[in-house]
Amino acid sequence: MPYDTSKSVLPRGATARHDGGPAPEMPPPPRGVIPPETVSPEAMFGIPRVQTNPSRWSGETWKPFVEELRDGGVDVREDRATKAMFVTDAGGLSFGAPHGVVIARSALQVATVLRAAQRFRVPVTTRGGGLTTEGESVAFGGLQLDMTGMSKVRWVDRDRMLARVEAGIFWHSMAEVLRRQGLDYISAPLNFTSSVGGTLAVGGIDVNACKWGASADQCVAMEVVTPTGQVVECSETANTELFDRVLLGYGQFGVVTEATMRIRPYTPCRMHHIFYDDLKAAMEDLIVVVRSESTDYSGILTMNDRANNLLFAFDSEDREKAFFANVRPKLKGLTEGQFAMRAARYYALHPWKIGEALWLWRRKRTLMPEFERPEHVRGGKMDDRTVVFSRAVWRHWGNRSMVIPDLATSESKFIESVLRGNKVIRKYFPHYTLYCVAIRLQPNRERYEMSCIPGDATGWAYGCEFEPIFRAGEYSRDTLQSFKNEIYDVGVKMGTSYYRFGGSMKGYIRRAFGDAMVDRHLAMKRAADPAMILNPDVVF
Amino acid sequence: MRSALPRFSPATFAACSGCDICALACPVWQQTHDVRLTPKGRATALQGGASAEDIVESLGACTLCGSCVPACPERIDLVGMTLGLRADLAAKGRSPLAPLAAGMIEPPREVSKANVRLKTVLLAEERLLADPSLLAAATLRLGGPAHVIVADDTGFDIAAALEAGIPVAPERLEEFLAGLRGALRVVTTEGFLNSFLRKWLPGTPIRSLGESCLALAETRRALRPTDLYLLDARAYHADFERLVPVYDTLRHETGCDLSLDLQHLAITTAANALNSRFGTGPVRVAEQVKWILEGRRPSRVVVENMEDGEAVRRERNMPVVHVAAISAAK
Ligand SMILES: Cc1cc2nc3c(=O)[nH]c(=O)nc-3n(C[C@H](O)[C@H](O)[C@H](O)COP(=O)(O)OP(=O)(O)OC[C@H]3O[C@@H](n4cnc5c(N)ncnc54)[C@H](O)[C@@H]3O)c2cc1C
Ligand code: SF4
Ligand code: SF4
Repeated sequence: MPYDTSKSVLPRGATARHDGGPAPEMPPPPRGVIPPETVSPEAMFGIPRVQTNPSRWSGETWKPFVEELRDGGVDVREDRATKAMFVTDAGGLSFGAPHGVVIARSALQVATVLRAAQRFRVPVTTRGGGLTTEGESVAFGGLQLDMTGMSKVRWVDRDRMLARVEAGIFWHSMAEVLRRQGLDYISAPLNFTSSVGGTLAVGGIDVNACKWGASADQCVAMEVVTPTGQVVECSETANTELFDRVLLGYGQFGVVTEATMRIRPYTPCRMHHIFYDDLKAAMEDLIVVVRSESTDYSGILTMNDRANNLLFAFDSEDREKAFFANVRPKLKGLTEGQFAMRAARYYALHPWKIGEALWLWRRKRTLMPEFERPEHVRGGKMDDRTVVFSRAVWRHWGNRSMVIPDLATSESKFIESVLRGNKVIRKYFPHYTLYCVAIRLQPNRERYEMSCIPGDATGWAYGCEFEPIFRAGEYSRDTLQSFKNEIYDVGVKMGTSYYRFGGSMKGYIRRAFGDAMVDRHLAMKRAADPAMILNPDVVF
Repeated sequence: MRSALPRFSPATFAACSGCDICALACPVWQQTHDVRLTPKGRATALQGGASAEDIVESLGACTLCGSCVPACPERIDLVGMTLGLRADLAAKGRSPLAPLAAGMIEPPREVSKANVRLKTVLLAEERLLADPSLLAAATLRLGGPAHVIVADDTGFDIAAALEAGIPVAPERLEEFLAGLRGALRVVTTEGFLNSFLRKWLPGTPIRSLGESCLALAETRRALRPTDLYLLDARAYHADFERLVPVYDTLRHETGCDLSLDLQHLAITTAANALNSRFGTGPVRVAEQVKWILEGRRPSRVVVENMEDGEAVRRERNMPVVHVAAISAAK
């Protein structure tokens, strides 16, 4: 049952400040006393505050746990410098500290760690690239398991177009090895320091997900260490239940130590952009493009809702030609020149928006060269989309703190959800980007249950990331959390899912998935992880 | 004694967002997969209150190849940060590299006072000085003996000291720079000093020998599509934005393969690093060479730097030739 946010969630007897009445006068606090919070948790337009950091684990079992690990030859690092590397994730808003860190080196070592963790009830938080934004890979006490210590390519099989990799490997490092053989991975986040294991745990969306599905869908087999420390090989045909639970399972049902991934011959892609001054029109066209199955890549990237860019790209010239002959004429998108004329007319008629116009112009001037660097793009062909996009993302959006709330929807809810979300982000931030893509769904639905793939999607799921552009420290954590909540409230009202529903957005899980499904997964988790030690507090 | 090194400013590490991009091209990361030994590891440890002593292993591991600097989206001077922290350690007698460099910092005994005005000064590595025919070829490529002065004072003692964090006496630095002031350009055979020279000699073009040779059409014509061209990583990264299009054009013009990764960063052999010379760092030069050659079957390797050439020769029985030599052969 979706949760109804219109119902009051105020504690009994409390009154909300937004009911029109004046805020109660606060008497000045006596000296030496910390005053009560003037902004009550419910003061923000009825959006309940969600706990941002779980409480810190400070169990007394840490010492014997570490002793046992060290006796078993596991290197546990407890020095300040090592622990400091893991205090936060890419979001930079959730802070915790592990008691110690183990750099994963083998499945057997990970199994030793998890067996001891069960016995001593020590929380273990798995981390790959740490590119979560809601603290999902941050340890609030206990042990941090750094999977990047397992970063090798085990083998590449050209005949079967498969590669076996250790799960901590960054997608980019995998690409470096594959490209020497004229091969490439199929689909990965546009962020070259996400790890394969971390991505399999959350999904993984590329601009070619419209054709290939999520990154997790490219996995055919995995070596998993279960929360009780068994090393199990699972695949599309063996131990399938574990396979489907671990894929998109947010690291709840095991640690992925190796993965066999589908690969493909490398091709540079020919990238095109068309422009819209109307967000809705851009989304309508994205649906047309996706349904036509005529492009190999597609997505929307906006500078704001008046400057929208529909990008599409092709692995072959034949497909490119066919698209321009058959599909392009149906699209409402403008050429760059047409768009510039329209924008000039709009801002001439709205001179008070000159600040926005100048910002757009400056942004375009700094951003576009990144996408056109001659060493990566020649004759319209982009050599390595992940390098180009990742550089641009980190240079122009990256920051010491980032929030990227999102909505993952079925096709029928896509446009309405994004338009509502756009109103929210516009209210909070003068500058932002929306990034929308479609994900082709695979026939196996098991793995999608309680994941970023919405239950009502068929054919393709759609997603939109709402990324405000700001400097670290410009907004308080409360403001950022309120913004995320308001986006997620849209999801609750529309019945969508989310790419990121763990960590500090965990409060939305029951609302998004309903009690019955969550309780069923919780029971599975309890059975698999009796001491509830693996990635605790992230989802359950 | 005042150090010639710009002081390390704490503002640098504070900007680190933890994105890990610096690790992707870092040879230390590639060979150890230990995040503590990466620039991110150092920056985030410092953010968490660690001191230089807490990260001494990490500071000693870096080969100063410079790949992380152009990679960093926050544009942190990561090499400067490492050198500054090494200097902090050296000041406390804790530098792991200072004892290694100590034997290398003898300044040259005799320095001729040649007039360098409007001449090209070549700071030649030891191996080049020991190879008269190659030195002659390099001199020819730079304009011929009448226009080139091969410096007696190569500044290698200064480079070794800077690399280890040992302070350089201002008088010694001044003596070295005096021999370069007024030069038309300074050409180096190993790029570690390039960024320093740019600061010390504003207005004087500082170029690598490789780039200088490639400026000649006949050198470029001598390159074949079956060649692997091995860039001097330190020189390339020290002037990345300017050099990326230079080498990109070279690749398209000649069809040769370049020792670049997908980010267009140069893969180092690490052979020139102080810790590699003494075998104390975690980076194995043999592994670097193996990685550079993996999946590639060049008919020959063309190098800009002779240490790199030696490293390849040690690992593979294949033709290795200096870029100045191919120019001369034409
Ligand atoms: C700037 C930026 C851009 C992004 N762009 C994209 C994008 O284009 N597409 C996209 O899909 N995502 C994107 N993301 C989100 C991010 O890339 C994904 O969350 C990412 O794939 C996670 O990979 P990771 O290795 O960083 O995982 P982590 O953040 O380390 O972990 C993610 C989750 O998986 C668990 N986990 C980690 N490793 C393992 C393992 N080996 N076994 C089991 N569980 C594990 C962790 O405990 C955590 O719960 C972006 C994030 C940022 C900050
Ligand atoms: S200079 Fe080279 S070895 Fe040192 S941290 Fe940067 S990339 Fe790694
Ligand atoms: S690339 Fe720069 S910002 Fe990113 S982790 Fe490395 S040092 Fe930090």
